[in-house]
Amino acid sequence: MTELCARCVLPSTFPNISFDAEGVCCFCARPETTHQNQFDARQRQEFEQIVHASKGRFAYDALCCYSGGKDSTYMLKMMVRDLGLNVLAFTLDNGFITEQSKQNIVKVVDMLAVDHLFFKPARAFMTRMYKEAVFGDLNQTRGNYITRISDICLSCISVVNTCAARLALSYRIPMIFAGFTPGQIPRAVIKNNHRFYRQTYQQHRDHWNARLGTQAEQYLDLPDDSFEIYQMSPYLVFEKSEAFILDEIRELGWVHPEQLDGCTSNCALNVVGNLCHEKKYGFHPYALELSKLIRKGLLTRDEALHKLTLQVEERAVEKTLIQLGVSRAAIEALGTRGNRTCAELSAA
Amino acid sequence: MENTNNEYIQKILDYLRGSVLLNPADEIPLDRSLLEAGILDSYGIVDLLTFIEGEFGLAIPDEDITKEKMGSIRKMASYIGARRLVSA
Repeated sequence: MTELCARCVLPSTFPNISFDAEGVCCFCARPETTHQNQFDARQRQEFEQIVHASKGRFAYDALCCYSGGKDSTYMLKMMVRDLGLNVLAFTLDNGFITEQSKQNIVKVVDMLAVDHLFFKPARAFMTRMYKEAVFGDLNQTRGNYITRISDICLSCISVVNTCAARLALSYRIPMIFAGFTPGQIPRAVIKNNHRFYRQTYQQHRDHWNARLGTQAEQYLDLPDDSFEIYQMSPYLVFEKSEAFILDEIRELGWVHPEQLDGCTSNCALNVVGNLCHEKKYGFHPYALELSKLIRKGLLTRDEALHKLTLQVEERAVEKTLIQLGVSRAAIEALGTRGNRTCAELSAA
Repeated sequence: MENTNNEYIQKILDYLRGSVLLNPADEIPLDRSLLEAGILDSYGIVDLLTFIEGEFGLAIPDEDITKEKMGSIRKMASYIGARRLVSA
């Protein structure tokens, strides 16, 4: 029987986990690094220095990866009103952004008076990528990602990151802001991450092109460019609770979309990514992120459990599955692989 | 110096083995790029560098994040040793 950590929400099916006599998992029991406070202070200082140094150098100070969800909505507000940046907002429409979310996006960019671009990659490519990620071996060579993100989300965020970087390179925008939470990314400032994306594509090109066709290049590769870009994750230096964020974005007219799972506030595909992940690997793909937020005091265990267990109406899930061209039976069949550990999956 | 570097190697290995970054069954090479070996992805590399900064009290400047200086666990340990020697 699956048990949960007594402090966070990691289950006994999570890879490499163990529990002490009090039922606390090994990840909660792990001490912070020796100089963590010093690192945190330096990170905040670096973040502020880069923001200051980047202002006014180019037509836009920063590109905002704006999904329309609550976190990126508040981030956009923070960028404009608190940091005083001239922002280009960018939304990658993955085909599953809800109508309410699209209305939110239009309202918010108008309220904040920022330039905004929607980009919708070809549906056929995105659908093929999602299916190859879930039912094929698209991401199998990408390290141990399954502990922190679903196959579908990993594929989608790869396209978002690459397209954002391409836009920043072409407009010469020195900072890309992303609304990652402290549970999703290890540091607030990453320099020239676009070179990592390029390197990743070069490393996996043959494998990815074989699964996705050469069109993969236009969504996952980047030009060799010496322009320097900082990827900024402000939630790692300005930690904000969900209640605070929701309160702050209400005045922009942001409305929480209905019929979404508890771990997204814009994407109808997320629930399918979660379902597939749980079937394939035996644990929820957001369990790690939410557990980190609990340890940081940004979320209670009950709030995290609520997010993980919030049910979406079956007809809403069915609608997404039809749009994706995947049957419920195909997802159920993923379970026949069993709840194997990461190591077993890797060896298979 | 070599003993100290071995301690740094051990700390890095302990961190990696106790983390969620790789499969427990993975052999961890000491003299090869973890990225190129497919052991870690870009997230994993950033996470590991963050651990090194937090654990050893170092600020790693961007120009030091190169294959020559940080391209394997053994190189990372030598780098930590050299930086700590300078700041001692």
